[in-house]
Amino acid sequence: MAEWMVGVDTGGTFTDLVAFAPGSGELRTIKVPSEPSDPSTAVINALNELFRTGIAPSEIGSLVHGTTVATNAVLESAGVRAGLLITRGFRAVYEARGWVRPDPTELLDTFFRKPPPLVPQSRTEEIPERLDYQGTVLEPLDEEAVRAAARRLKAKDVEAVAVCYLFSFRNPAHEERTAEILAEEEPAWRISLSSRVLPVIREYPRLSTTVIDAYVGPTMERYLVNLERRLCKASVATPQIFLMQSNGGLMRIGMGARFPNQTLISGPAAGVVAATALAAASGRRNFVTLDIGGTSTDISVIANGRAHETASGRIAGQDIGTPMLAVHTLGAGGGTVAWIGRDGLMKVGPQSAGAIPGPACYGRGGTAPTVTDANLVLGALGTGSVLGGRMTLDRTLAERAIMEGVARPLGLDLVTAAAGILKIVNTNMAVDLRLAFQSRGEDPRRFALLAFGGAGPLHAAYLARDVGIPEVCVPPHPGLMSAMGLLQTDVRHLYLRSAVGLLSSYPVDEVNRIFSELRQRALDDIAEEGLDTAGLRLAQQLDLRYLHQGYHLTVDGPDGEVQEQHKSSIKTAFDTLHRRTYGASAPGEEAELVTLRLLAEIPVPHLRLPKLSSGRRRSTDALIGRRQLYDFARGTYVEAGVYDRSRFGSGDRIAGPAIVEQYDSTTVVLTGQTLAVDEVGNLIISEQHDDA
Amino acid sequence: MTLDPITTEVVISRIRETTAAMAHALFHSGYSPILRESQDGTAGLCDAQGRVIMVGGGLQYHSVLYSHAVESVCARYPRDEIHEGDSFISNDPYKVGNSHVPDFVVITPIFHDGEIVAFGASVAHKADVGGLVPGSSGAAAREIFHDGVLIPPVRYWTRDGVNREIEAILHNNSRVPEVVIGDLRGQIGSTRLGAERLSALCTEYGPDIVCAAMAGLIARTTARVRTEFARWPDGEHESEALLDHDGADRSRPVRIKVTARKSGDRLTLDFSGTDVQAKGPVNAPAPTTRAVSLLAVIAASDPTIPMNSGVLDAVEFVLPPSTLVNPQFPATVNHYFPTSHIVYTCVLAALGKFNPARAVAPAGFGTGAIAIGYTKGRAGKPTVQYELMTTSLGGTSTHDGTALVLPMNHFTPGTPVEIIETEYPVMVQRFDIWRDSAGAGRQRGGIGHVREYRLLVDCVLTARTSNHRQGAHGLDGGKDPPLSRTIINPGTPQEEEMDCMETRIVPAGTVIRLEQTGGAGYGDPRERPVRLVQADLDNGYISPEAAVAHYQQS
Repeated sequence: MAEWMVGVDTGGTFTDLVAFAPGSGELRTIKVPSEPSDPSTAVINALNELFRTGIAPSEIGSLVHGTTVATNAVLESAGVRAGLLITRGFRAVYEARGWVRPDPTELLDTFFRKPPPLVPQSRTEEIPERLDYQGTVLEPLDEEAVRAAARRLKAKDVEAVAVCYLFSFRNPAHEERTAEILAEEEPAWRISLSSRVLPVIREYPRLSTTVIDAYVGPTMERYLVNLERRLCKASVATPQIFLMQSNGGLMRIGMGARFPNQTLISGPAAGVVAATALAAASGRRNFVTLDIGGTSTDISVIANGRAHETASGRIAGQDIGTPMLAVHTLGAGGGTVAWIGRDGLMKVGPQSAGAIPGPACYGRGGTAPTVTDANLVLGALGTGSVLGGRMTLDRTLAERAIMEGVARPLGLDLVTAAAGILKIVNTNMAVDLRLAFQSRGEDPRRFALLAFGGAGPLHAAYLARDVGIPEVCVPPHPGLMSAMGLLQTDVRHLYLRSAVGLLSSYPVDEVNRIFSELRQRALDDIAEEGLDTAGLRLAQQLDLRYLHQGYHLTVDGPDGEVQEQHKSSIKTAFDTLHRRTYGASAPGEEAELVTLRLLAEIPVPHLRLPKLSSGRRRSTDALIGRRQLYDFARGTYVEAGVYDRSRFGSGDRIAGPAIVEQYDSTTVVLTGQTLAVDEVGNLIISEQHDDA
Repeated sequence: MTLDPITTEVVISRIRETTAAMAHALFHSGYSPILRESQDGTAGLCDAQGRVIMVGGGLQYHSVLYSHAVESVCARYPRDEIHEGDSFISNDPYKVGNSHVPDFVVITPIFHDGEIVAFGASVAHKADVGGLVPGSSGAAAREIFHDGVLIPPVRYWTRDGVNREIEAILHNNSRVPEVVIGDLRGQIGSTRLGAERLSALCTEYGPDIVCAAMAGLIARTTARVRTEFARWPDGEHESEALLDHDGADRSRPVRIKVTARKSGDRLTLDFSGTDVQAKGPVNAPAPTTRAVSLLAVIAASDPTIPMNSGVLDAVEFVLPPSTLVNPQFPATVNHYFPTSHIVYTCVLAALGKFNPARAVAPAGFGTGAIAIGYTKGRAGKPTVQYELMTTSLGGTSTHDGTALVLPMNHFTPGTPVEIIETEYPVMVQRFDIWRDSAGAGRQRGGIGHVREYRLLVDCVLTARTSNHRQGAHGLDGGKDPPLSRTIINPGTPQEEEMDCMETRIVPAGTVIRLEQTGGAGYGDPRERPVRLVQADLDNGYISPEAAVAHYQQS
């Protein structure tokens, strides 16, 4: 009996499943429509399809799930009715919302509004209590006030309660006692303590993150209970069921209800994980990912084999301080709409025709011209390019939409207008790619562009040339990157605790005490997850900044006990990292310690892509047709060969212009570029002429 | 040269990328907390004629200032004396148009094939440039020389590097010289990055196309603003508002007045009737007056119009010399911020009468900053806690005003309570919403707030706020919000109200409470839907008494 690892990723339109047998290296992939009303239905549907290929439920050794349940609860304001307890006198913290700056388009707008709070003031209760900046009690917790507040919130039918007191990251006693009292008053409540959710300095992001935890927690809990029940019913008996977290690591499914915030960018994080794994497997250190879907594009930078992390995420305007992989999203995808601005210029996005009605050429009633319509008119897509021809694209509808939507009003011909749509959307993506490099102090010439998502490979060759990235890599399954990423990472937990003070004078005993507390929490969680600690890796890290800086950087600390003499090497590592990241450093200035972090990882088996059988070196066997493809450099159509990717073997090379089609994506190679197939089947596009 | 609507859009996106990259470089290479944490600065581009193309950063009113600075540099240095690699600096409001002396302007000519095609520009606040008090902005100032060292436009940097002589002079004239020199370096770096990027864009597209796109950006803004004006009825509307005093004679208020005249697609903003320039520091230099007025023009017409010199081209100004809005040398200008807020409010109110769809009730008055000087911070060194004080926006035709925002589209982040207490010997006792501080209305103002500090050591307290006696007024039957106040030792026998502009030495244990008011109301509060009044009661935004008094509901 074979043992299979299965990854199931819930996306906006499709739920993707990847099954991998480590023993044989066999890989199976499945795509089913998502079920927004109950995402577990699509998960079960995908599994049932897998079972129909001859795999028994008992053969599933592990299952990893990427979920959007928490994300959607925030996006659609569909979380639960929650209450909030705060230190008396600080109602303006949440009201100010971190003095949020509006989007550039709203900067001059007196009608500008802040994102709505997830808990209103009417369900916010002030509790007399106060700690000072060192965590010393200045005013003891008023337990009767907590009880009275609990009763008022109970009368208001809340399902969950968030607690965020000032300086609780220094001393959680008041929050913990509050949780006990709340549980006595209403045992059914789910309680979120800021000292557990995000024990770091800065009250607003901590509060906002804790409120999100309360707001989505019960929804997540119900979803997971239901999912486990349905998996059980489907005879999936393995205890090894995991969720993908926003930090790119796994956690046991049972932890999901406790840490719903960790799943807010579960899917995109899995894509970044897959990219990181691919980078490692291909011997590359630097990748920039370009994941273009129907409505948006995700960009992330992987430098020296590590994806960047951010602690200032935002979902639908809600601030979240939980560290997550840094994924920059812009409103540009296949369904993104072209229109004419009030300034008379052509604009593309950020609004999208979405999945329904979708691009005009889908023939589902959409009339607005989209990026996909332009790609069809310009020959990058053929009428049979989408989903292996299961869906036919209507070129007449695309032409009509472009003519009526933008070409005629601007006095342009069809092809000029279609090319304009692509030039503009590509420029918008290129701008964000360049800014992503600049903000991290990286040089695009040292990177490869990893293109995935349904539309990434369509645009990648053009963008790489524009931005000066020497190489494009299109993985074997561009539409399944997130699902693959689920099977390419380890169990990972990150524990934080703010410890603010000058590095030079901060007592090492205190540092070691905090690290040992965090270590205990890690061990407790791992025990609760039922995981074997044999392979446990613990990494001690420190967030540092120069005094008064508004941002910090993470450096690795020593293993084991931190000693006084370690401080100088920590400081040097910080100076170096600062110079690399921001182009400057101040070795003469003191560094301030902000947060201590303990990273706990337990390895699990990974999916490894099978090697592709060697090709024929002459790729005419894969040639399935020819198509007129618009060449931007020449401003005219050129004839391009159309290839079937499944017929490629490793070592195959073709010269652009060319189009490579596969079930879930289409890759464009420009004139002057060469495509080569590597040994695991990645398409590598570079700017070199192939004389062979 | 006319460009097609696609190339133009593409090149504009690239120009936007350039200013975004410049702003990022500015905020990440800057040295002082003001620049890094508060982001009190901008960087952007002007064309070869000095017209503003685009500004990166949250303070769009810096834009007009760039033009004055470029003009001034070009007036002093003939073109053949300006070389590739030069950067010029100045902080003299009467020469380069910056708002006050702590704001340094950097101008870097951008060359392509030996020709100047554009200018990189940056304006950023400096922690201290000398003058009467730490931070260089004292209420006791009576002439600009009291505000700090005044550097005329000078060549500070060449292709060979920094001019050491000028750097030495700057170093000699600040209480925190390293920070000032470091921040200037950040500004210069950001304009030089802009120069590199724009020159590369010229190589890619050709300088003619880039210049045509820049010219088109300005022309489109002018055309869009004029189109908006043309839709409005012709006529004349005025608006005025008061500041508590001029900072010197505290016995009487001073007046800002504007008359907006609109005919066809032309608009004139006439500030005749505004009081004569102040002896104290509340004067707003003419370029700042123009700049904030133009923000109001865009807000009152179509906020999606890009801010650039095109707005300035569409509006005529009458700024009588030697008034609060056009002070003459050597008047001090260090407290320009609240004055410019009042200018913005007046222009917005006057234009709202032409275009009621965009009319809003004014934001609460009382903006500014506080500075608390400690001889020893938590880290043991002398330090200054500097915080901008916000109010809230007024109600609009469609919704309640947004709470806790610096009006006048000035967006900079505030400092968390936990950071303040960790860095300074002070306790923040309250950061609370202030019940009944929002002007009542069908759409009420944003709720005001209270911030209360207990000082744990002896220190020097400087209040640089505004308008404790003269408040904002509701619109269309909307009510006024209460007045902002600063109170020392509230609820004790030593309770005392502080003037909005005052410096005093206070002993350990002193409590200061800043009551920062909410926005004004829009429309008759009796028309407010019952469910919204109920929600305000439930949320504690209004008291049961106010529900009865203003909303006639019990």
